[in-house]
Amino acid sequence: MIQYSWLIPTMPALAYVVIILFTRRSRILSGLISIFTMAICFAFSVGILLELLAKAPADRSIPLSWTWLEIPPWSANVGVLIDPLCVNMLLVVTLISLLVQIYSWGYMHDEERFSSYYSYLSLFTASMLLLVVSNNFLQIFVGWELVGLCSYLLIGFWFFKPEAADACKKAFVVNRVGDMGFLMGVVTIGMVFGTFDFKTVFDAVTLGIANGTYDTTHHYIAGIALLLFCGAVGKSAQFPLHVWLPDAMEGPTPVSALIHAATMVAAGVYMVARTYMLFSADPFAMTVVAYTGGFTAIFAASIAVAQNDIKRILAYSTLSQLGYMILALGVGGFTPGMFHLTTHACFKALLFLGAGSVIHGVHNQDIWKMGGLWSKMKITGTTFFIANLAIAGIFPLAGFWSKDEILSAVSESKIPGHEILYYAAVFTAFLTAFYMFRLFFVVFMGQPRDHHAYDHAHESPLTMTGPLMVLAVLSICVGWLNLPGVDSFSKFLHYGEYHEEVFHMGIAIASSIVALAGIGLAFVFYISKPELAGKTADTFKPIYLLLKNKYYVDEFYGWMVKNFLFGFATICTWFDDNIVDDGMVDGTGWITRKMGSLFTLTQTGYVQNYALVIFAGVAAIYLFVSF
Amino acid sequence: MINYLTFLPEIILVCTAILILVVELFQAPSSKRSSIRWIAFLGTLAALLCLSCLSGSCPLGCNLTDGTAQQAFNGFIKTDGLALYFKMIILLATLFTLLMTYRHFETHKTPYPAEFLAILLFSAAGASALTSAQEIITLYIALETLTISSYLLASFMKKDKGSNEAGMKYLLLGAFSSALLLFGFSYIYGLTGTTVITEIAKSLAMQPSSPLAVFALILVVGGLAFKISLAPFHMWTPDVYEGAPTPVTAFLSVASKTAGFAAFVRLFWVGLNVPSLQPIWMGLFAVLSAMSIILGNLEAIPQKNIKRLMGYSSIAQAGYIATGFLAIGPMGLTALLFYIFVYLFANLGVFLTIVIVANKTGSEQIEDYAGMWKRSPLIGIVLLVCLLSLAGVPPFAGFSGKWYLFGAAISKGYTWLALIGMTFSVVSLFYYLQVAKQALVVAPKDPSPIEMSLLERSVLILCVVVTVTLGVWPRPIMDLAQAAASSLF
Repeated sequence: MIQYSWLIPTMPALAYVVIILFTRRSRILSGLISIFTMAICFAFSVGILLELLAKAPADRSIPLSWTWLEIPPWSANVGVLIDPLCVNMLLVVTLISLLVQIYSWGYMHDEERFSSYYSYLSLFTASMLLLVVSNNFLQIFVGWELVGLCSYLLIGFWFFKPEAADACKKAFVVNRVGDMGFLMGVVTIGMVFGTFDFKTVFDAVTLGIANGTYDTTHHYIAGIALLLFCGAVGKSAQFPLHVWLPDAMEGPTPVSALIHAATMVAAGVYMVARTYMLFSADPFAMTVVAYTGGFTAIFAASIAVAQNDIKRILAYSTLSQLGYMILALGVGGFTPGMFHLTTHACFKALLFLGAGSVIHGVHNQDIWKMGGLWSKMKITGTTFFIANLAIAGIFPLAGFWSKDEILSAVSESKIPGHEILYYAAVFTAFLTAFYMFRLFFVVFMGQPRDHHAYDHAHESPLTMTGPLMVLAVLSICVGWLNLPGVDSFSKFLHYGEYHEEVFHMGIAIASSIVALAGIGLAFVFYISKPELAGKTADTFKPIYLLLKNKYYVDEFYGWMVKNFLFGFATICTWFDDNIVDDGMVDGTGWITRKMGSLFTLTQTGYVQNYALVIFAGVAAIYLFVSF
Repeated sequence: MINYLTFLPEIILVCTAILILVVELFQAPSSKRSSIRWIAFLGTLAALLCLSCLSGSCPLGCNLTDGTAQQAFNGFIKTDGLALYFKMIILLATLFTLLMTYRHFETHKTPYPAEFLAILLFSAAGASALTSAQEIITLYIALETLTISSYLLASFMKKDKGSNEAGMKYLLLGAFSSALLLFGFSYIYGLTGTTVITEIAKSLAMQPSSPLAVFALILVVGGLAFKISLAPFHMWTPDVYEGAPTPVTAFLSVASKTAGFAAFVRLFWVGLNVPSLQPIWMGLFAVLSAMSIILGNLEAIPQKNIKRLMGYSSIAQAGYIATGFLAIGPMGLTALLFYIFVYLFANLGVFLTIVIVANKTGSEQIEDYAGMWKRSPLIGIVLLVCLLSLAGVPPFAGFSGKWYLFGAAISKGYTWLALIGMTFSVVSLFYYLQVAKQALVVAPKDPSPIEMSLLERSVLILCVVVTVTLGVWPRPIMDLAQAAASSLF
């Protein structure tokens, strides 16, 4: 099966082509093609997992490669690298995508451009899968950019809404900033190593470390790693390029689920894990990664506390959780990072799809217009509650295990100032529990605030609640893959040699207490003493406003763009209009056309002239060659 | 005992042509003559299929050889992998031309369709034979079979002034260039005492450089450059391309040129590839190639007639392909072979649309392509994809083709030539996109849809698919071209 693994990205890409070209007119056919393709991809991924498990751990990395373009000594390959990391991502992406596509069937049932929507979903997943199976930097970059393009199409799916149009533009532009760094990193790799192939590059680095030439390439590797990391910062929405992700919720909610859980934002984390060799070669690169992740985690979590839009809260929670993963990778916790990516994919998809179900019911996104929905939406409410417990890290749900591993990794790490990162991570866990349960209590508990919305609320159809229930089960159970002492996930997916993981009871207890405290505080503020929340906000008004306005990062960027970039752009425009366009471009065009007309004058139509030219040509050549 | 396998494709073509003439005798003057069309089509297809049998890789398993090159007449004719590749291009182009012919004669009535088809097949047989010629007399005879038939084809529309003019110009100038070529050959024979290409190389390598050898070389270059319309031997091209019946123009632009390239490769890379002469003809080709690229692209800009435009475009394309001559070695030959394949589909896709459009509108003016997209979406797509491919825009096959060609030229130190090629590829976008713009952007004057047969539709789709696929995945044809190139090195 592994030798056919190239089919996994190919099939959804073909589904896209088929839908766009042939079945666009039929909604049902388009949707079914997309969903079935994804189901086959998921089954395929499971098959590959089983085949991989049957092999000895040492043989679990299987590259397949074909030459794409060749100009000796350069060659660009396309290929597949099947290893535990890849298979883990394949399973996450195909499963979440499958569930989201099934869910969309119900959620988008009134949509006119239903077929286009499914074609984009297929292409989106295909791009992500292309990126995941990639065995070289060039191909990963192609997938990377395609993911960016599809996110643009999907975030701006309702492009007639100005917010959606702005959001997709913002996502695209902000990602461009990161991608620029990524592209520079890829090109540098090509220049330094003469190849884009992962294995060759990593072997070269390993060899360099082993025989001591490391020092000479030292700066290259740290530089390359950090350039690549720029791409991850953009795509995985880390500070300071995080601003696009909260706006990206202007797209259809299932798309948000897909972006936040499996495709797109996971790409950055995955890329860092894929090129982990380059990062781990240099402590400096690791430190930058760890601090970026740690800061984003606490930064985003604090913003989430003061938001009122249900999807916005979830968006900031994604930022914060991605920060966790990046932090884990930065402190050397390869397995915890990927494990958290996996568990997070399940409960974040569940949260977004649940939020979609709520929005579907009440046609509103402001949590203060909801309330008491529990009685109306039992399945949505229950699954949402499970997801909340999971993300807050309550024993024995998925989030508990992965978060605990990350905290252990941080506490054990040797990077400078890891104690600060540890406390930041613990505090983030507290904030996470608080804002998630704030959301839950306000939306599902208490009294209905907007009776019109409440009366309209209803449970969603089975196509929507079905995926919710599947994800709820996963949110409970996925963590058990890596129970302390069993460590089946760690044994399958690890970087370098496998090390026995130590379970820190102290950390587990501490993080549980912190999470419970967060839930308790949310309970006090939003259930037992609702007036207290407003009072606290009033007391700490400046801080509240700072958080509510997301630290004014957007405003700062806007100010920078307006005052510096636009001024510079105005000068450039003048130069372009007057000198480049009028002078150089039009001038070149004019000269070229004139020359064309001039030369056609030689085309007299007289045979004798033509014969003369031939004769003159031979004579001229002879004279030219002889003298 | 003569090894007939060596020229089996030519035997099939000639027999088909004769069969057509015989069958024609038994047809009533009023009949639609669909039988001769089928004979011509099937005969060419059979010749094409027999190539795979000769290469020892027939998918049906009827391999006539074990893949080794076949020889006859003391090795004067040798059908090696390179010859088979060139034959494939020529026969594919012939198939395209036949398809166009059927459509063209719907509106351009001729009382002699059978003669036209027969002469076309004779011409194809000449081109095909030329690719296996290992000796200059054989090569010359094959070339004349090709060109004399082409004169007839170009002037076939007896009542049409343009066609007559084209035929007459082609004949006069063609005869002139053939004379040059033969003159050159006679000196070569005089210098070496042999007509076999490999022997010529051995003999020339042993003698010191002489002005006579250089003179012969220049005459041969002049004579052959005419056939592939390299500047400054290109002047006939626009006039003949415009006046000749469109299928003939298509045939000249691909099949006839391919035969010319085959002759170039055999003569220069084998026969005249000696230390005393090689630098001279290398420099010569670099200059001719640059001139063709510059002149062809510049003169195409003011054109109003699409066939004339394609004439100039074909001059520029010949210039691009000639850059491959400079990179002696498997890489250059592979690039050249690949580009010819790509050029075949892009160029003939455009010519097929010209025929279909002219059949409906009766016009070959670019302005009458306004709104083609609305009148037939497929024609709009074909024009866009094929023209962009000719201009060398990624992701179409023309881009990868030029990538390999210029890459090969750069690897031999001809960076300046590659730069000229790239710069003028940009210029070429201007006139190619003029056509595409008319077809895709401008509103149609007459919105009536343009019909085409299922076969034409499939062939056009094939052109698009091949052009796009080879742009992103050039491997299959590259492998084929590499295998073909390996028979020379």
